[in-house]
Amino acid sequence: MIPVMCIVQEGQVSKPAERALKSEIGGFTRRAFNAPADIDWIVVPTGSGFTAARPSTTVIASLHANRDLAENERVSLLRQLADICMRETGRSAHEVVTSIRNPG
Amino acid sequence: MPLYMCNAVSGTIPETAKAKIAADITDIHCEITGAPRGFVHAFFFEDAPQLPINGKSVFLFASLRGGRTVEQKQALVNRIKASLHQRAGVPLSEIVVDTTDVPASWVMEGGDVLPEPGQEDAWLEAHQGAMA
Repeated sequence: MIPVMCIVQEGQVSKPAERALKSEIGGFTRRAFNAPADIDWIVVPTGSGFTAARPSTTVIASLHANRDLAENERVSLLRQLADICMRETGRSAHEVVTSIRNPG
Repeated sequence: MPLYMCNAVSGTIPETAKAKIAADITDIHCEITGAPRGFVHAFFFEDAPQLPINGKSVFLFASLRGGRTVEQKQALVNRIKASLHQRAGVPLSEIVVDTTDVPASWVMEGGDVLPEPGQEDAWLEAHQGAMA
């Protein structure tokens, strides 16, 4: 399993969009790491999320890879994951943060 | 990035204090590190199982771009604890702040990998107008 943490702001992502995003992330981890995603879906309550000290619209998707990644591959995977988040949430590139960490 | 995730026992941090603490965190982080304000995320939770409070009242976990000095991180911790104490009235002994370093190259924001600390100018120029 690939542990994935998804952080969204309350009211930002509808239930259908949540299902679609989780499904797409699951497909992504299978393609990239040959393993299903174990998604921890975290909702920031209204009035509790801030970016640049202003109400946040940021979506964060962070995962731990199951192998060390070379820089070029990591950048490609980060971009693929960001594209999925943007497509499924309707957020812009500057509202999406992705992180892929090495194991350990 | 940075991402500050603050978990508190329900009712410990008044709703009205969260924006002030988030502003403090943003100011403190940018003053100490020189990072752009648009990079700073501060999220508040209550009794979130992902961030164990371990018997205290507040646990704040900060994911920072790697490369900060020990002195910078200690200053961040001390000043943010002071903000939580001042804004929410939480005793300092009830606040735990921890940090972890994440290489900038492991994080993407705005469609590009984050710059290393101190190398933000070119990144910001490329993203001018789009930052939060």
